[in-house]
Amino acid sequence: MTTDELLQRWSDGSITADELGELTAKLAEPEHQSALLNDWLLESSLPDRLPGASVASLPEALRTKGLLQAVEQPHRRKWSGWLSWRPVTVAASVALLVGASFYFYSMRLRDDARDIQTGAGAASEPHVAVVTSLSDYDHTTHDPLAVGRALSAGDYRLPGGRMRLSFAGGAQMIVEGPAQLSLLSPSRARLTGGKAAAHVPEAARGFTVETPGVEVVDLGTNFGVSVGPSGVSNVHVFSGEVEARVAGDDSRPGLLVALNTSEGRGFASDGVMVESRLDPSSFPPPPSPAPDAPRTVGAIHYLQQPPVSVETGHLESNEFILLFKECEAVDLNQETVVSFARPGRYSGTEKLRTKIGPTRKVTSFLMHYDPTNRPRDRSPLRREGSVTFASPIVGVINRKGVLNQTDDLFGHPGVIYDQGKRRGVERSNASDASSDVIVMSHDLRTLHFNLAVSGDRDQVRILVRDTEPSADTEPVSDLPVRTGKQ
Amino acid sequence: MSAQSHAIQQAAAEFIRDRHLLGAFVTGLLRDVHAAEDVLQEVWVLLSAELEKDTLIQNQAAWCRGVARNLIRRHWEKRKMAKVVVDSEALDAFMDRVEQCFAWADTQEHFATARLAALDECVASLPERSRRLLSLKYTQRAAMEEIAEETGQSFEAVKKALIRVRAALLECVRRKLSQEEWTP
Repeated sequence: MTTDELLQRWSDGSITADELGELTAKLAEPEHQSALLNDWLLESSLPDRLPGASVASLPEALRTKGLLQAVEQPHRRKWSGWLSWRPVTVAASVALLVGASFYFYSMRLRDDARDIQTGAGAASEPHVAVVTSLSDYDHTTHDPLAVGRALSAGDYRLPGGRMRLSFAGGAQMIVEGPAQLSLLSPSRARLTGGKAAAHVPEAARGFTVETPGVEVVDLGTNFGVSVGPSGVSNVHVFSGEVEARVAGDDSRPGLLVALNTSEGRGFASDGVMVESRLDPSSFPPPPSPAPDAPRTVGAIHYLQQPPVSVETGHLESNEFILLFKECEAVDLNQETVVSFARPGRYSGTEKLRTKIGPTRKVTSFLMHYDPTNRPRDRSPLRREGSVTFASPIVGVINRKGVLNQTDDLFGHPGVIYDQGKRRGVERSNASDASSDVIVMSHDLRTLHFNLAVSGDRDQVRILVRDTEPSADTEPVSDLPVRTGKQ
Repeated sequence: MSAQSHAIQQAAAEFIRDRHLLGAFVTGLLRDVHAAEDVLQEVWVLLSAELEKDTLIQNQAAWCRGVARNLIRRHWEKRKMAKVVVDSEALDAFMDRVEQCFAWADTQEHFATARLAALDECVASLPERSRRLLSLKYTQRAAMEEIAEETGQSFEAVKKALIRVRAALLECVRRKLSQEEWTP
């Protein structure tokens, strides 16, 4: 077998003992040593050298120690590398890594040897979860954690308070600080300190939380998990069933423990099962949707709290379409212009206007989608999702002009709105794949969005009736102005 | 600035300068991106802790690899990842050889930067389709199944394509570099 083949087998974990011996023998020769060095250097460095790799700053620890100047080059290099640096306070020993109060942020170092691609064409690292609420949390200026902020895979620290996350895979999680959480994928996370509780709907079944001692796989449930300073992980099932897996290997599969409603177990950091000493009430309550909250599906995620700002660039993500409540019980004492108010399919080809009459109290919601960038190959990526409200929709506003006009009336007083050029849905030719499409259901309760990832911000305001329908359910007047083909 | 602060400052600069080779060492042995990041963090923690105790470290790169090696061993034992080799003696012999490779690379000026510069040129010369494939795997860390779905190819076709592209890159890098001579 050639050296390259042996290295490939080492890399994919299929190498046998004999083959490893063969590779070791080959590595006595300079040419094979170079082969290994080149192979491993390429493998570890490729994430840095490809289009779309993002730039980040130096590890926080180096900066706080004033070491930035020592490593900065004359022409202001941006340091980079694919490795996630998680700087910790000095004097933390390895044994304290789990459960210790140490400090880290998710950072990626990047090499500065070339210009960084930004804007059109560059694909940023995908986001796997979005923050939907924060409580008892002190924000700092450059905080990665904020309501509406989409998070990529990486490590995050919550010094205190509670944070609620909505994963792209559909699971919901509440994290109680102090906690250290790693986001691994749209359906996987790792808790290395602190407490968390998850609500996993059927569509997100299989959502997994790793801890030092055990891996908890949801089988359709609400469950809580915590990791204490000693490294012991506790798992409690509020409802449903989970499978707790302790790591094993090919010859000796790990231990599998099924836990059902009201059952709990503890696992030491080496996977040994211990009695759970944690009172179930000490876990944060599993996130559950409020009875009157809109139900979302697909790429749409409901924020439990309004964000600070919906200005362009503030809450960018290709993956997440955000929805939040703006104002409740708005008294409409005069006719209000909206884009449309009837069931049907609406795209950016149409210029619609209609009016809804006075005397209705409505609650307004804002749908916000601000893609990071357009895909490199310009292929029309799209994001889809649906939202279903408990009450009928009385009007939808999808054009910049009317959005701007109605910000004062329907906008949230604590949110910064940007009345700039790009707002509302895309307007384009009927055959253009970059057009945005909104479909309203016949029962007036569901909106389905199919949005183009075009780099432009999309915002749609949705007005939902506050009370049960009265006899007066139709718009006062219906003045569609169609300039294009429907 | 105190002598200790200066030492830490120097160590940080050296750590960043040598990050490519250390990253290659850890990633090559562990074959797990997330675990490699954990180990590198721990190495930095231990290094700075030693410097705060005024420990004199003669060869920082070798010291870091030694610590990393121990952490990797512990990681394998903890995760019971013995599926590669059951003979720890054979594994030790392999790791000793790997250490020799990297110790030699330490002595070569601009070893990593020269290769990375060559790699940059080689990546730039790849067809767009190949670059996209690599981006999906290395930058977006997509699973093979996801890459297959995204590209409309079968799992096996994607696997083979990635192997071919990597091989092409390695060959390109080798061509761009002059052959180093081994000096024992």
